[in-house]
Amino acid sequence: MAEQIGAKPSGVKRIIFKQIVYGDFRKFLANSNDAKSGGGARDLRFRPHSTFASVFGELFPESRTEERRRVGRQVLVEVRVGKFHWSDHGIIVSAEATFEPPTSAREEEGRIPTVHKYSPFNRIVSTWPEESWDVDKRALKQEGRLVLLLVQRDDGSVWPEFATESSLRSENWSESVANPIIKSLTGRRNASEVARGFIDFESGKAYLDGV
Amino acid sequence: MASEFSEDTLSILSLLRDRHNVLLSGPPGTGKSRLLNEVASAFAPSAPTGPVHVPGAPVAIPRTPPISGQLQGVIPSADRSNRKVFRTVFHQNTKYRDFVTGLVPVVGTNAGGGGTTFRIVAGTLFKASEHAKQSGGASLLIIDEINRGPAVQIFGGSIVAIESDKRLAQDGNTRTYTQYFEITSLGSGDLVEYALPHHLYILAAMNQADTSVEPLDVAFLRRWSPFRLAPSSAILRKYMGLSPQTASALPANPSSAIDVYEAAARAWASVNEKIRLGRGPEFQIGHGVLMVRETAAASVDEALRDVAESWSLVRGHVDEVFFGDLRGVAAVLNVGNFDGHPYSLKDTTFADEPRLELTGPASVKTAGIYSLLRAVAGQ
Repeated sequence: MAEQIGAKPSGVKRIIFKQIVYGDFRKFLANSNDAKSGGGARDLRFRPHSTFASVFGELFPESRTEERRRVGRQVLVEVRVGKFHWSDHGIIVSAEATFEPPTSAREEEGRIPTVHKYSPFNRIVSTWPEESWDVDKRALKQEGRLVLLLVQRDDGSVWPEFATESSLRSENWSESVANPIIKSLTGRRNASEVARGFIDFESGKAYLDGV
Repeated sequence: MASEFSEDTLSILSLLRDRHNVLLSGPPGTGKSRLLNEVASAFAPSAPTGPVHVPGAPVAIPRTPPISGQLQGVIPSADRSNRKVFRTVFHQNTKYRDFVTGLVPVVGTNAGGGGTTFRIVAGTLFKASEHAKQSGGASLLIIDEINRGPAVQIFGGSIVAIESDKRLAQDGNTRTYTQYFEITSLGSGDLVEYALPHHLYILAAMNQADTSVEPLDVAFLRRWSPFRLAPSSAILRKYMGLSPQTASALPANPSSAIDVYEAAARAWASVNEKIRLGRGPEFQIGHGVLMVRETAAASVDEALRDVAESWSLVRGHVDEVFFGDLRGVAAVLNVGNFDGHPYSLKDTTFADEPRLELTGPASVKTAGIYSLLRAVAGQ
């Protein structure tokens, strides 16, 4: 749906960020159906859910109840509902976005399902093709790690954006955004984990994984 | 974020960009102070309190927020991010040292609290100039009431150097026509040569019609691009919620706030028309005198109260402009041309000499203001 909401620069209320690895691109293109990327997963996961749930509640303020299958049974779960916004050739576009509670298989991971539906996720794949990535496909050869930012503006709208580590370090980005993300990127964690967190400029709260 | 700027603001920014020095003039109440503030906020927007998201930009949350779309193409030194506004107000005691550099006494410098020494101070022009010479620096110097002090003496040797083509080049180097003048060095106290930078802009404001102002000479004035504000009936009528212009007769008694405002707008226009003819356009009184609150009043009583308060200012202005000329005051107030006018002009004598006397209420309260406005408007 094309709209004109938030076409101008606007203040930022909060940001959720997550490091993206090449394996995530398969989800962004909806061709991820192998075990390596989590079976048929096309969702982007955030853990621990207990930490991210409240901030996703701010990004996606509505909720609705939906049926899901859990351990072979139909159950009702509460899904947070909002919108993603992005600019498409100068026109502001938005589409419904949701945040779902953990599945029984991954009890501490909340998730944004079907990310392939949103253009910003498709476009980033063509921006950084496979040959741009280093050997283990966790960082770009030249630009370092890639980060997804879910930016909530003063008008409440949520915009997916991407930033490379070298761009964040280049002094072009707002320090209040770049510095915490870089701290998390350089934090200590297991090799299989990625940097993630949130910065809430309204409440002053933040979660920086690895810091 | 900067949002909407008036046409006047954009015009002044454009003039500053091209000519560097702009002199804003206009009668009192025409919005000079508001305009100075608007230009200042456009030139150096307040730093946002938090990060700013720019949709579609390569850096989604940049360190330096972009210039508002309205200001693109008109803002001076658009590529400079270290922007600052300096302000000063000239008065009868403003001196060269307050504006450029100079010596000021420092008393009580010895252990006993006595003794006097001197120190060299940086004036407002010097500070603005030094800021504009920094990497990425740009300065807007606002001088309010420029003709309230001895402007030519205050500018001293910088008077020629302020001219647009007498400045340093954009990169800070000397150009063929760069004009140097001598100042007292802050460090050594010696006289040193000094020139003004390209990225320094000066916006001055003055009211030509006040009684305590100093005349500005032609050589001074030609170094400025003039920008004149005039009383605007359109702005006033829009504020009051009146139709652009109407010829219908005013009712004998107001039934709405609109009736009160219509009478006030017509009386104000009539007063200004007569001041313009009697003393000159620069002596008129601006629309701001009747715009006393954020939005016009909705009830008759509130409107009468606002208009009565404003009228005392209008009347004070008329008395000042026509001081010693009672016949002029009476003509502006339309005395003698309206049946039932609250004022009358009488011939009388003092020590056997003929005199004039303007009789009527010393001040007009809410109860009498509407009939007075009708009388002044002649309707």
